[in-house]
Amino acid sequence: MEEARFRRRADVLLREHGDYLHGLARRLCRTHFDPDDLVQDVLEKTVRAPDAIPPGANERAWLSRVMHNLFIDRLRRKQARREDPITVDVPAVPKDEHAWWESLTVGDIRAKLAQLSEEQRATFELFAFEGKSYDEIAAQLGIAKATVGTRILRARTRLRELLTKERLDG
Amino acid sequence: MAECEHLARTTAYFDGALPEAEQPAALEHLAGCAECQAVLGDAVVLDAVASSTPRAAATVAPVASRAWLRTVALVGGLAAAAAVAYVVWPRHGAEAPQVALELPRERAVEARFTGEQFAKHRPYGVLRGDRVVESIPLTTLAQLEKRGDRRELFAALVATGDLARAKQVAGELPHDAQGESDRAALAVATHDLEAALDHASRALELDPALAAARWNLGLAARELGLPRVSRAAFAQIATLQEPGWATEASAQVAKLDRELATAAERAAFHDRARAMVAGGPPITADDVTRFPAAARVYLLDALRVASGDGVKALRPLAEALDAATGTTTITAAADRAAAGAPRVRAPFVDRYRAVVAGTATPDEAERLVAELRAAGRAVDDVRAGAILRGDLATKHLDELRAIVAPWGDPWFDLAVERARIAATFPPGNAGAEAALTAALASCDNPAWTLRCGELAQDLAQRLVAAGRAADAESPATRAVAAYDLAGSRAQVKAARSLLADIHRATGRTALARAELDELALADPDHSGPPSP
Repeated sequence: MEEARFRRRADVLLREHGDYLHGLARRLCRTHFDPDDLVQDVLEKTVRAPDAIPPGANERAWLSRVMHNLFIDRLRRKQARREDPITVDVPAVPKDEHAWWESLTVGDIRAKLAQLSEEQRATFELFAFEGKSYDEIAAQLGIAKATVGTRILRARTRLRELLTKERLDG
Repeated sequence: MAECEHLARTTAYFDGALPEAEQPAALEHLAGCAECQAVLGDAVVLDAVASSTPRAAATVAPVASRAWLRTVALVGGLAAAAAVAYVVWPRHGAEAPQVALELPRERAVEARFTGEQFAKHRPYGVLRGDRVVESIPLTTLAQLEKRGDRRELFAALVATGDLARAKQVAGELPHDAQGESDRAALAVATHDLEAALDHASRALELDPALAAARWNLGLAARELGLPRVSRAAFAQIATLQEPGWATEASAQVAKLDRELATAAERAAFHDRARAMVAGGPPITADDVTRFPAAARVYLLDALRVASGDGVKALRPLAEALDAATGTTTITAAADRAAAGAPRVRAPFVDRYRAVVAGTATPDEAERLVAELRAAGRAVDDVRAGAILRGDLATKHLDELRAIVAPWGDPWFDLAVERARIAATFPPGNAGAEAALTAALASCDNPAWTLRCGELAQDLAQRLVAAGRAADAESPATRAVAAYDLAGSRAQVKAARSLLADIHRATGRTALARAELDELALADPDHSGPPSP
């Protein structure tokens, strides 16, 4: 039965990425949306779309990207309800086939870190790999909390540029 | 292309570094900004990939640490009617015995939680000691976390003051009545009162008998300045006879009653002042110093209708009011009234009272102004009063300005400016916004607070009419505060219902409903003072 196959697939994805997806959903939703509902939506869209995740792709990145799209969709719908009845539609499953992040690995990111400025690299590492909060990083590096945010923002943007370039070149 | 200035805010939101109060605005912007969406998208995938180290590389094992029950319902596309629910996580913790909590005898958080071990009443002790958080051993917290006692853990985190972690756990609470009630408790503790009201209302919609939710609603309403809504909530809890909670609820009711008694005293002042204008005894110097803003309106009216001796009797009150507000203008008004021949003024007294009482028709008010005009300078102050109180300021703007200009009294100058703006900018004209904002900026003495309220209300109404309800909130709030300060109940009521309309229009329904409840619960008999 197809339904049973969907369920098995959802089960596998959840076992592997459930914790991460729930954490990510909470980060996106905070108190403004229902995170459980978002996770469920991601699973549903993913298991039901044919070839939702291309072979060889980074599953977690893919699921996260679907979640991002569905989250933006929720935001826009909430907005649209309040303003005028325009319809919004964000494709839940990414259409850009050769996205830079599609088959990204931790190793790829680590390899590019060396090309960031020292400040950006240190801040990004503390946040992304050591799980420190802005406040903790600010205290540790002796910089303002806002500066932590700016550095992380710049680091991510730079990484995306470097990783996109590599994809195009390679 | 210039970079969007909100990228850092979007980043901070996702990274958990944006204060809750700033989140709604950030999300509103994000909904419409492609650049911010792209930045968020980058962050999402980079973090997802970065998180794959080293944990997610190993597949199954570490994930099983989540012991609590998790149900995922998948509602099918093809099999749309059949909802399939299935358990993903093994039910490890479910049969395990509860972690026993050793709680301090007094609680540090005024809000109520639904966790069973927090259900027993403990006195609210924040006033007595210097301890503002409860101490619960870290090991106990860890045990709660491990067992998956989400509601107990949540309550314990708020009680110990670990609000950041509590906020995370809030996201894991179910969206049932208890979960919503607990979210309300956290929102009360972090003084996010509107969210508290929202969550508590939702909880009560789901389960009207949930006392904790009603408690939290009562607290939120009290802090939001909605004493009647708050009193109703606590009065209801008091009837439930829960040990301890009922007593504390009754104490809340008594405290709110005292607050509302002040409102009753205010109403009594307005009754006395209205009687004075109608020919009764003057108000007292104590009245004047306690209610200076409203006393100004009544004293000016009383001077316009007073006989020669009456003016003399009012003069000490005028001096007391000027002393209380640091002005000289009421004494000057008393001198003007004394200078006008009583013989000339007497014929207008009854008709002026009718205009003030609101019993005169617009035609009668108009005729009164015409006759006052013919009677000359001796009744100039009465004429200015009739134009203002008869709501004719916009129509007779130049005439009013000519009368009041020599007085140099901001009380009247602000009224002229308000009328000028109304006459200059027809409804829908955007120029009014700047003019009203400028006029409000000069509204700095509490003595003119009623005038400031009027200007703020005009501004709010124009913004609402222009479809800018969100922008109208701030001036409408200012109008409520100004009228409230003056103790002007009828005007408070009008401004509050405008504010409730604004909140409803901007999707803040729980707040709007509470505000309308508050209005409905207020004694409807008192019409309050007339508009100045």
